[in-house]
Formats: sequence, structure tokens, C-alpha cells
Amino acid sequence: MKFIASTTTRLLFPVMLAASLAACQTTSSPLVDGDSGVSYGDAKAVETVTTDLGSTDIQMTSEKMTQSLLQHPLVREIIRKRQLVVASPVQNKTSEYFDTALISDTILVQLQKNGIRYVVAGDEMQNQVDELRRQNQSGLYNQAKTAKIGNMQGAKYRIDGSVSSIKKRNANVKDVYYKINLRLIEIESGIVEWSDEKEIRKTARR
Amino acid sequence: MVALRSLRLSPVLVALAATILLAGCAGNPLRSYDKEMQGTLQRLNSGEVDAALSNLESNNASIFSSSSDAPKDQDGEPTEQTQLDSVLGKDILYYFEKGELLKLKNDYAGSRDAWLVADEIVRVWEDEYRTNPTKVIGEVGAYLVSDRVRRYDGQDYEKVFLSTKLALDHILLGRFDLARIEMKKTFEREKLIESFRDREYDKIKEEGDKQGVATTAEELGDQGYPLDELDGPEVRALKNGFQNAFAHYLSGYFFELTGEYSLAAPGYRNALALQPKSKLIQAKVNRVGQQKPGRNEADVLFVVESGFAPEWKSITVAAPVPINRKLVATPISFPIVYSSAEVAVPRTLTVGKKTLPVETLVDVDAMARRLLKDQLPGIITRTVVRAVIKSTVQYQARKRGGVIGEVVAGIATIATEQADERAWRTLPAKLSVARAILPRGEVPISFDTGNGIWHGTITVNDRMTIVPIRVLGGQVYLGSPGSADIEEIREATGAAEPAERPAPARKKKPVKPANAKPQQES
Repeated sequence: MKFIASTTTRLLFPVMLAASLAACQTTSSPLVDGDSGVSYGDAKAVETVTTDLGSTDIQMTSEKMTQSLLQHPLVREIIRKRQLVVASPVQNKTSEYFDTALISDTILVQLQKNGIRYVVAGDEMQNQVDELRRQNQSGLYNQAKTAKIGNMQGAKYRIDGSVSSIKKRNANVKDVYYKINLRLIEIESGIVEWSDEKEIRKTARR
Repeated sequence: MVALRSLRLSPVLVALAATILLAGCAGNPLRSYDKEMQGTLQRLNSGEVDAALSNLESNNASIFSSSSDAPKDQDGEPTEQTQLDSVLGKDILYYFEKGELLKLKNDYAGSRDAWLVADEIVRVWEDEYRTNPTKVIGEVGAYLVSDRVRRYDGQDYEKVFLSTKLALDHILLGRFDLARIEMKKTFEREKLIESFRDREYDKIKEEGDKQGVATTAEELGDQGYPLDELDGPEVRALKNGFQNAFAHYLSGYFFELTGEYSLAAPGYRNALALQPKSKLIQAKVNRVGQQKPGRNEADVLFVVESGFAPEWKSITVAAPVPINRKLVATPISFPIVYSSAEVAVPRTLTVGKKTLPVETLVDVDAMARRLLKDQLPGIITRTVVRAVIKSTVQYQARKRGGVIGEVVAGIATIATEQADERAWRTLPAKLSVARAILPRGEVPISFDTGNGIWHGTITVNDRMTIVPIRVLGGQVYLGSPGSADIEEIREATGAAEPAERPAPARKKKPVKPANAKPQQES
């Protein structure tokens, strides 16, 4: 009898837990639903709306490049020695209005999650300079506690690259071939320590 | 009277009669838009922008005689109705022209607001195509009445130009965030138009095959249609009738100065694809960001617009129409764009001590002819199909309503069978640019208008400065230079910075009306 009771309890507990969680679900954020037809989708879903570079291309490229970089012995050395990396702008050599920072930013985030330290560049660099000037030159801050000018660290390696494309079309088919190339360069010597590329072919039929 | 009573109007006849009742509104089949605009254009050529504006307003006056009759909003205030609200509302052309006229008055906010209404009308068309392309494409061959009675959504090149001009207005008003959005929208619009035209071509071919219409442009040419007008070297040199090299060059310029080189590069590259001989563009492709203004300098873009966009005319030729399984030469009207008289574009601008070459990036005259050339097969199919249907209508009317029925149907046919002459007429015939790095401050400018040398002064404020210039005969409209400190732009757009730190923000000097003291030398 005791056995039956304990078995029942063991079986009932998950069921009750699931039921209570389901109840929680019904009290989640209310939905404001108009007639706009707007809905949320999976950010990782494969997107094939047009042949232009899209979210899936960025995700595929970033994933491949990050994995390739992390497998390189030099990158493991960079992580171990806590050396610094900076990302130069990825050149857009296509005729598409595509912001290549989408690729480099995603790769930097993935690299940092794996232990690589990087320094700011581009617009972030301007914000960094502005903030240092504000702290040191505006007269508003306690100078004993401000971040001092002249202590920023330069990177030992930089990542750069390019996106190129070849487009072809006839009456029935539009074909676009993209090649995304990335390199890791030692800044002092200019030696390319690592490079890899991702090829993407997208075809649309009329 | 008896005959009239006995006349049983078919739905087709009712539709045709309804078009006549629309006299006085935008979709009026009897309206000659070209004639209507002559007064406005003449006043602009004389430098009378206010009078041109009044003329435009009187041409588009509401049919409601007093304000008490006018439509009102919830608060009882009279509201302006557009073609989206009512068939009696103001059409897109009114907003096209009004935006242009207000821009010539340096009223950029008013110009932007007028063009935003026009843009809303274009967006309705875009949304219709995006959500139900089959329906929009289906309408291509489904019209019983003339093209001039169809809702006018703007020619393809006008839609792209509208977006480009809106971007320019946003820059001149210092709204760089909106300019950035508008530029991206321009290129999405180009792609949408390209997709629409591809699918329309298929549909027209299908419709033509179904109706047994095999009339070609060449056959039309044999009957007197001036095909040569649509086949000049400047027309053949264009990729299509809607892509705008200036729109792409403006993006290159804008994104280069905001430090977004990955967006600037395709701007210059696309512009070069459309204008391969342009030295100005060649100098920028693969050299983005290499020439930067110094601390007290600005990268100045002169946008020189000359003349008016070409007029669309209606020409009647005897086209072969399949009636009762026979090809009958039937007089039908088709649109034609004649190449306009030579428009004076200054070859150089003298700015301070520099002489800047002026390069034409957009030839609207050629674009209009290219567009018509590309659309002519569709226009022929639609027009001939309509002619077949109308001959059937007349036959039915005669059968049911006797002589009077035939007369009514005949009047409707004549009234609706004129080719569509509507087009944005105050658009420039040519858009040219010059560009230079200039010192900040007041800089004298002079150039040859074709009627003498014109002198004026511009104020170069900050690192990005755009100077709009309109040359109409001997008349020059010099806009207030739109300028901004790069920090303002970056703040507004969240863009990257160029390597060199820009000079600190300066308080802008009030800009004198630039054409206040022009001196003309003969």
C-alpha cells in the first residue's frame, strides 16, 4: 500500500508541476493584437525572401568564421596570453546596401564569449575619446577617480575582410554568388596569420 | 426620348459614362494635364514662384464652392482630401508639383510635407503590389477605359525621384536620420519596380496572346508613330527608365561623410553602373573616405537642376485591331515623349577661386523616353484590347439603343480614348552635380546660365554642405545650403566616425536668401 502511495505521489508530482507551470503560462504578458498581421518569428529561421544578403547569411558566415578562428592554434595562444584584437571595417565590394558591421560585430561577440579580448574601434572609438575628454577636461569630475588619458591599449592583431558578389540573370533565373573573406593580421608585421572564406550561392526563379 | 428610355445601358456603358461625370477631378478623361501646367511653368521661367503656386492651386481647386461644403474632420475643420480619400481628392501630381514649387521657395518643410503625401500614395501602390501582386498585375490588362482615367500613381522614374528628393529635403532640414531611411527606401523602391515590370511583361504577353493582339511597336512605327524619338543613343545608353544615378551618388556622398563606408561604396558603384563615363563617380569608386575635408573645410555637393521634365503627348495612329477576326486599321491614341529642346546646363561652376566641372548624372528627358519605350508593348496591348471591347460596346449600343445609344457610346469612347499625358512636369530635365572641398564661410559662386553669367554667394557652414541650384532659362533659383556638423549626423544616425575628428560644432549663421542679390551679366 505504501508502495502504491509513493508511486502515485511520484507520478502525480510531475503532472501537477506541469499543470501549475501551464497555469503560469496563461498569466504571462498580455498580447496586444491589432489587425496588422504582425507576429514574432524565430530569429534563426532560414530566410529566403530575396537573393540579397540576409539574416541567414550573416548567421552562417559568422558561425563558420568563428569556429575556424577558434580552431587556429594562434587564436588559442591569443586567448591564453590575453592579447588584444581589433576589428577593421569589412569592405563591401558588392552593389548591395549592406552594412558589413553586421558580420564583424556578430563575430566579435562570439569570439568574446570564447575568451578573446578586443578593443573598440570605429564609432565606439569616438565615444571612448569623448568620454575620456569629458572626464578629464570638462571640470565636472573628481580628478582622483577619473579614467586617465594615455592608458588605452593597442591591439596586437586585427581582423579585416571583404564581401564580394557576382550576379547573373536571364529571363527565368537570377543567380547571385557571394564570397565573404576574413583575415587575422598581426599589426606590427602585417603578416596574415589566418584567413578563411565563406561562399554563398542564392538562386531565384521567376 | 423614347429611344433614351428604351436604352438599356450595359455595365460597360455605365462605366464609360461615369468617367465623363468625373469632369473637374483628377481622373477627368477630358483633362489635358500638359495644357494645365503651361501657366505654372511659364511663371517659373519668369521667376514668379508664388504666382506659379497660385496657378497650381487654382488648377486643383476643390469642386466644393465654399468652405462650408468642404469635407471636415472630427473637429469640424476643413480637410484636404487626397485621391486616397475620394475620387474627387487631389491627385499625386498636385503634391509632386507643389513640393517642387515650395522647394524653389526654399520652404523645405512645406516641400517635404507635400512630397510625404505623394509618397503615401506611392506606398499604397507598393503595399498593394506586395500584399497582392496577382491583383495589381491583373489590372494591367483589365482596364476598359483609357489609361488617362486610371489612378495615376506616378511614372516609375517619378516614384524613384520622389524618394530621392525627399532624402535631399531631409538633409537640407538637418534630419539625417530620416534621410538615411529615405535613401534605403529609394533602393527598395527600385527593386520593387523592377520586380513589378518583370511580372507585368509576362502578364501583358499572356493577355495579348489571349486576345489575339499581335500588334508590335514596329507596326505602329510603320503607321506613323515616331519610334525614332524613343530610340536615340541617350535612350539606349540607359539600363532602364527608373534607376537614378544621382540617388546612388547621393547615398555615396552621405554615407562617406557619416563614415559608413560599407554603405557608401555600393552607392558610388551603383551610380557608376548607371553613368559609366562619369569622371566624378569614377574618382570615388574604390577611393571612399580617402579625401576628407580638413578642420575648417567642407565637402560641398552642388546639385544643379536644369529645365523641365518632358511633356507626354497623345498621338493618334491607325493601328491594326482584330475585329470580327479581321485586322482593321483603327485610329487609336498612344502616348509619345518628344525629346525636348536643348536644356542649358552650366559646364562649370566658379566657386571662390576654384572652377568645378559639372557632370549630368540624370537625364529625365531620356529616362521618360526609355520608360515609354519599355512600356510601349504593354500600352499597345491594353489599348488594342480596349479598342476591341469598345467596338463590341458600340455594336451592342446600336443594337439596343438605336442611333442615340450609339452616339452615347461613341462620345464616351472618344472622351476616354486619348493617351495619358500626365507627368510630373516641374521635375528637372537634367540633374547635374559638382563637388569640391571648400573652406567654410561665405564663398562667391558664378556660372553661365546660357543667358549670361550669374553671380551669387553661398554660405558653407560645416563639413557636409549641399547647395541646390535650379536653372530655368535665364532664371536661377539658389537654395539655402543644407549643412551639418558630422557629429549631428552621427548622433542622428548612429553612424560610424571618419578617422579624423571633426571640428567642434559651430553655431550656424543665418543663411541669407541666396538669390537675394544675383547679378546678371550679359
